[in-house]
Amino acid sequence: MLFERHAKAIYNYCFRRVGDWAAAEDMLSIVFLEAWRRRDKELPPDKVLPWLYGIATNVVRHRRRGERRFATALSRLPGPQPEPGFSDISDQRLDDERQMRSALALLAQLPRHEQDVIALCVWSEASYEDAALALGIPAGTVRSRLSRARQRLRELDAACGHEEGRTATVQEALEP
Amino acid sequence: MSIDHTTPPLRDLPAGRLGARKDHLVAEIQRSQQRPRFLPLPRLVRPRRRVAALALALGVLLIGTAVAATTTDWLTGSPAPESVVSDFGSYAPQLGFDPQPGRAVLVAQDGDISLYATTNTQGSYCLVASAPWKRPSKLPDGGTCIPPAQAAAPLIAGLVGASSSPGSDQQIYLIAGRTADPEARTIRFTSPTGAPITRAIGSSGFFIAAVRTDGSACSNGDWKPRFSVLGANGEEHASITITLGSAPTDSPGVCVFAAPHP
Repeated sequence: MLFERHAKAIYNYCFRRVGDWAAAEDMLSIVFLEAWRRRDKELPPDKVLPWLYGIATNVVRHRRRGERRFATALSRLPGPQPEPGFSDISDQRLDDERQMRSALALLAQLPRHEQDVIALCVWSEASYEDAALALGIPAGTVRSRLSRARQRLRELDAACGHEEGRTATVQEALEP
Repeated sequence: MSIDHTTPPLRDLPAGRLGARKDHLVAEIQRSQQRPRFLPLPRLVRPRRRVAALALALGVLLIGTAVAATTTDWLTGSPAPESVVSDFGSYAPQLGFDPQPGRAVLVAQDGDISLYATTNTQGSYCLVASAPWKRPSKLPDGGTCIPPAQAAAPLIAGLVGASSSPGSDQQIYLIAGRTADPEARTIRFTSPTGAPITRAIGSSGFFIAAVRTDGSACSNGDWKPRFSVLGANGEEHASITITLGSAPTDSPGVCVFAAPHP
């Protein structure tokens, strides 16, 4: 099933765009509900994931609107069950969210269309062609946007003089 | 710090959540398939009331059809190809518009560039540009929808597509828009370098122009041309300045474009 095959990729893509695991889970549902609505689309099998990335990019961009639209459907979802080893998982995920928020703060200094290509080509390792299909732009534009984004990030990095030592993660802080 | 190495590892959904989400998805899909198209009248409704309800429904239907006819008759043009119809059909509803793909028509052309338009249920219209690098069948994107308040303006213009030539600095910007003036025949504005651009108005007041530039459209600051709407004899009917691209002061070389707007 499409969902089982691509859920993890879309879940992680959404997380990397918003830095919030719970929101990413809801967005995962919205992406697949939206994909179902557009199920008439004819795509080669290897282009389904880029197509889903495209839907996810729109869902991320219009997050509030999507949540409102699918609020009724999401309200019918059963709540999470208690998990074994919950605190370890929580700590890892809290660390993820903190790490991701700092990356997103840096990325937020770029224009939105450059954020999209970084998220697709760098963080999700999509090819130029797949990113082009997801964003509805030519592959050459993806390449040039990525190049400009990298250049701008290098400049920002140099201007900020990013820290040499990073902050301890929650996991590390809890270790004796 | 490199942006390449800043992301946490890929993670699965928490235990049990993948299954829960899958079950929820399946339930929602089944729910959408089971939703009845027409609500049956209650069996206990008296025949006279049933007739009254039917008459009322028929009246509403007739009025609705008349309103729809008057509000969408303005859009004319030759029928759009299937790829364009399908492109309008793929418009993300999260963006707040519901294009009516079946009404898509070709409304303007500039060489091998075409502009298609269709109405939407919000009372305005949506646009899709087709170009050699961006046929809807090749790179579908769902198009651009214009909010009703902006669509009501006498003239709107903005970006509906762009491309760059590989290996060169040349950029191509697709500038499209619409004038509400039924007597308009030509639109005139200027390129980022000030060169005059004149294009014929197509169906229903729409126009499109492929504008080629060397380098950024904002290399001389904001691209803010004056648009002149010209009549059959070249007389000026209206003249409005519209910002097509703006150059943020803190990001030299960057040009921020907007979709068609007043």
